[in-house]
Amino acid sequence: MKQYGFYIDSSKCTGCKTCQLSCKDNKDLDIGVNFRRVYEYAGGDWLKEGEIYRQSVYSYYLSIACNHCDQPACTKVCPSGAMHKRDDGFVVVDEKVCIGCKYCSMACPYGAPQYNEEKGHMIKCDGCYERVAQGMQPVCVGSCPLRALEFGPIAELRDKYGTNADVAPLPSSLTTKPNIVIKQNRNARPTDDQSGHLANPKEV
Amino acid sequence: MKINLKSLLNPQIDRRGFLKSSALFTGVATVTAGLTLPFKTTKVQAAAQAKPENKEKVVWSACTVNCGSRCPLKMHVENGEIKWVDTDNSGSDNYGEHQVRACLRGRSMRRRVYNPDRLKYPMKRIGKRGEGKFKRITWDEAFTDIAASITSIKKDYGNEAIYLNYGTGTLGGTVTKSWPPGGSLLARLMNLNGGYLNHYGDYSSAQIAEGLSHTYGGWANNNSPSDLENSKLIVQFGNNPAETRMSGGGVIHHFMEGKAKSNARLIVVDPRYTDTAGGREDQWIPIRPGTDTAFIAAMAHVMITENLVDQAFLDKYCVGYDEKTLPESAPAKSDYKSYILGLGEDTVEKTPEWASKITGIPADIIIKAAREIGSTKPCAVIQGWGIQRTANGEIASRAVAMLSLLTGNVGINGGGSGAREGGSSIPFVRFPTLQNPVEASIPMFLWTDAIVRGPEMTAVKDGIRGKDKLDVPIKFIWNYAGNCIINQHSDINRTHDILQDESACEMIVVIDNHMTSSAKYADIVLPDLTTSEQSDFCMDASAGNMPYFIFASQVIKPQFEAKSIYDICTGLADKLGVKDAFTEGRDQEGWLRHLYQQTRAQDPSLPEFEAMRKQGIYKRLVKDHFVAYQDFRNDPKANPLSTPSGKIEIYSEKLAELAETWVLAKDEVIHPLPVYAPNFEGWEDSKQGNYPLQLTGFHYKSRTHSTYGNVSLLQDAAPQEMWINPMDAQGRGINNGDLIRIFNDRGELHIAAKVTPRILPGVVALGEGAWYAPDGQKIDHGGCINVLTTQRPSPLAKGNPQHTNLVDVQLVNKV
Amino acid sequence: MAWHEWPLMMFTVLAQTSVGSFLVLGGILLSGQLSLNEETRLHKAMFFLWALMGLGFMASTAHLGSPLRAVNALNQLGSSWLSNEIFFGSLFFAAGGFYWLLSILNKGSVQARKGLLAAAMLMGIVFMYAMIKVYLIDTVPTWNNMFTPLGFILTMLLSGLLFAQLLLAGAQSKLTGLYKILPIAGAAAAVISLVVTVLQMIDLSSINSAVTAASGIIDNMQQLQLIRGALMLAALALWFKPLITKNKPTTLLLVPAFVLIFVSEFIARGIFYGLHMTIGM
Repeated sequence: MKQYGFYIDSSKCTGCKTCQLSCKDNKDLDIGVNFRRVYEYAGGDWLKEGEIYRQSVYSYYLSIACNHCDQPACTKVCPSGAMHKRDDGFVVVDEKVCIGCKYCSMACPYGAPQYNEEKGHMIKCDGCYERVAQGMQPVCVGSCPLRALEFGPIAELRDKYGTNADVAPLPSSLTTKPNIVIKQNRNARPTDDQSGHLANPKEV
Repeated sequence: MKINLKSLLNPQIDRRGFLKSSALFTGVATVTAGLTLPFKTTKVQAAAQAKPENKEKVVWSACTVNCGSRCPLKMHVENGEIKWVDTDNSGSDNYGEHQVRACLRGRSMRRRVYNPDRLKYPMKRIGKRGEGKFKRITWDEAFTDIAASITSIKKDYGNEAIYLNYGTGTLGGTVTKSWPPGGSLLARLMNLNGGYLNHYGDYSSAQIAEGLSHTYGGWANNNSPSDLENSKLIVQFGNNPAETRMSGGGVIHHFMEGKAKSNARLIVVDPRYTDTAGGREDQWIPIRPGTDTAFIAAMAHVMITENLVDQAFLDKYCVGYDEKTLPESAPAKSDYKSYILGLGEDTVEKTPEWASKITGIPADIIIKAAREIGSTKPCAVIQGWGIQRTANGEIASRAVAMLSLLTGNVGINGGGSGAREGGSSIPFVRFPTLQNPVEASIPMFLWTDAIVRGPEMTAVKDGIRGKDKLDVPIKFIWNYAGNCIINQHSDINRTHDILQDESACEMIVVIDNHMTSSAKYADIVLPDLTTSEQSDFCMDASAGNMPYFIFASQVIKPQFEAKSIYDICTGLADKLGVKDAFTEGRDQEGWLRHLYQQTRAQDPSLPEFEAMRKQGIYKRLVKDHFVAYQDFRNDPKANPLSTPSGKIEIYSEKLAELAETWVLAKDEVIHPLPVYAPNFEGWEDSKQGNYPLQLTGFHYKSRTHSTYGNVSLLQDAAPQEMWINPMDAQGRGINNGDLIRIFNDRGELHIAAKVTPRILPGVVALGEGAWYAPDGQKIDHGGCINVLTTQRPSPLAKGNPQHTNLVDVQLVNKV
Repeated sequence: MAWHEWPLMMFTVLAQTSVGSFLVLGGILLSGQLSLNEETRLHKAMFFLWALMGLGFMASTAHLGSPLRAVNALNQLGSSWLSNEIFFGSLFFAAGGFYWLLSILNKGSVQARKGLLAAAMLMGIVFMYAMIKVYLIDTVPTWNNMFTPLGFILTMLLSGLLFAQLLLAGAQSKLTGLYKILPIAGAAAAVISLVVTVLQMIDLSSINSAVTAASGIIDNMQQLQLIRGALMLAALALWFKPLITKNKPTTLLLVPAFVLIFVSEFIARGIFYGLHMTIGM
């Protein structure tokens, strides 16, 4: 079975959100619907000494869409089978079958499946599988001004960049086996980190 | 004041939704009955007129806003409607011959073109200025009214009363170019009609343009960011290309790739932990806004006392570092070294301890940074324009350059001048705008003063150029592709009051795409085409060593009754009797061909016109990185600078002269040296009075200034919020996301708080450019920083100190 | 609190109430301790049991974005616990309902009816098991623990027993022994429920992702738990009153008691859904 995946270079990502907006433009998504989301993770302390300050502040961004997991939490709970893993490895929702029960979004630890009020069912990143079948890149990947995203067969990406898929605020990759490779930012914190916080909850 | 009662009562107009109360800050044009937005719908109004083509075609267009980058857009069009927006994804993407990828804003262009705020018809104001009440008029009525106004004002006051206001919404175009004012088609139109009152300087870089010109002569250049591949250390002062020059073919790309190649260390000096930093920095030095000069003076102290300065460079290339190179006119001990060591007038030694109290930076960090900068070569010192957009921005910009001078990094690869990044460009013949018969020019920031007290404004008091004083106040304002009538000019409430007097400035004509807050203050509004609806050559990007230009073709038909600036000016030229002189017999396409033919005559290697239209973007790979002042460095005698001395002037005789002759307030400083002087309304003032927090603006990714500010998807992706440190938030009971009020004596706005450690305590920050949305009580709910900024200009450039503000913050509502 | 999940809150609490009371009443019916008249009256009273269950199913469809496609929910029978839940819930409803219809109409042999009743009880148990499994999602740490089955079973007991007693009282049953056992069992369940709640609140402080701390998800947790506990105790007081005053329990007393316990469990379920978080973002 084929399996594609994303390489996410968090050391380059500036959180500009071009990936998110180019996706939204291409898929005609409205406010609040984000197939790709950019998480800002930040932390650190300040210390006042008279008129001066010392600090240990850090932040970094992580652009996450659907990770098209090997063991998707979403397909496991889906009662209709609408949420399914295709032969090319993409996890896609069949919008003609989905009943909109939202269990997939409850289960997915990455926020990938999203409920669309208007349509009455779930929608999500489909990896641009139609573009990929034509030899093109997913829209988000080709849009990145920083070249912080790459796309390809996951085996090739892992050969090139290693196998890390763990960094805060992501969950441990052992649970769903996401098909992503993450190059960590210098500020990266581990998956179970408690020192930082999600700094842009409204935006994701 | 005349009110057109008939129109007010005309129910037909009412039905069309042109009358909207200004109390609704959603704006006049949001209820536009005839407009169907092509989102989430299959029916599209524009398609009704177009012949069904069914087949998708791809047309090159561009984003021409004022971010400092320039991006090609590939519009996917179906049945005359833009379906989605792609960017340059053709060819190789190897750095150096890379794709020029648009940022999130360019990718959202479709929602600017099909925005509910689009201006559809020419309109005439029927309410008070700012109320947003208009009636629809014909183009002929608009042209007739404007021409009559020009003629009468010319007769009563002369052409000096007609002002071209600052506007950079389409500065990346050629025909559509909105800035500099003298390069716009309106300048050509007015120059055929006796001229106009010009301005100098700009809201982006007024203080650095003036300040650093005294150091380097003219516009101060710096190495291209691609040259960072030769650097060992990069020092960014208030420079944040990740949020300001975001294009994938712009500064941020060069910065990232250049730095990756050299693996240079990075120091970021900024009150905010910026997205440019974000883990790419080796050290973030948070600093109080307006105190950079003190920080630099203290580093100079370390370098001088620890013998880290490049004495040979300073002796050979600079004026006034020490007494050796002081000009004759200068008093004893008026050199920079004496100033630093406390031997000068003020007798204060600029030690790290002295600076740490002012800047908030621990002395040990100042010492460490000074040693690192002083001993790592080549070192690239780069400043953004945030530092200079302050009350003493002229001095601050010169101070940053001191680091490059003390360390002798000017004119070498991997080094630089301490100015903003430079780059290569492709020469292109611009639209000829003819000679302006009016010689007077005002600082762009003082146009509101020129309405109120024009004839009182003089050269030595207000920086009037071209003559000693203005003779007449501004009576007529052209405002094309700009939002500086209200949104982007300081102290909105003052401007509002000034503009309420319709006998002062008699006519404001706004030409734009959308119902901006500036358009709401217009007497006549003219709907302009977006770049997607016309063809143009687009350029002027800071693009390192890979310059390019774009041929943007017409993608879709003009929406509604909108006209191009070329056709608007042609229509007016006709009314003013200068049509033939204006057009020279060409239409817009004719001019594009003409200008390109002339450009190709200079440079035959460029592709032919039709080929260019097809390929959309032309890139040139420049092998060598741009190195500012390289010739001067190699041979200063043969290649002198354009400063009075021909050298780099640390001590400027010209500034010494201005300091003597100009009329300044007590707390305003013009100085021959880059000395530390507290800003008016700076940190020192924050310790007394009612406003304990320093407020600084920043460029926010959801907008370029105010352009794209009405695109709901971008507002959603990057919501407007004010940054505040947990230390400051806690005492005020503010949690992340709470609604807060920011206020000072000038105004008040309500917006959500972003409580984040990423900002220095005592400082709050608000992205500039959000659309002003006042309620009936003059409280802004859009988060527009300019209800809080001052119209008091900086001392030398008379520029906008929009990052120098004192405010307080209070909780309004918990989330 | 997750008020927006009201359809699921309704469905689960009502289903657990129905199944809980059905198991009690079914046991009584199977034991043959009721007189024919009592049985007939009980069967009539059991209308309300199916009304509750029906209401629950109706509420559950309000959770669906596309209720017209509800039948698709059975597509993954076997592999998706949600499919299983709906399948066995439907079987329970069908078998129990059919049993009830036959009994009301007095059709079919007693043997067949008893068989149907036993089958319906079994379906009810499987239904409850499936419902628990639906929420044991390994990516949802606040659900994927023993507090989910405990909570669901305690709802079956508390709300189910009280409802069973309400129906018995409505049917004027003479099984006085049960009138003692049921409230005492209910009280025991209430004590366990309160202990479990305390344990769960302690447990929450150990559940964190990098983004969410479980203990901080619900702002007014303490307040909600206090209201919930108070309602439960008030219901118990009403339930126990006849026992203390040595009167026969009346529907007049048991209806408000049931309403109180239902609201209490409804709030508890709101807290349950409100505690949703994932191990990620």
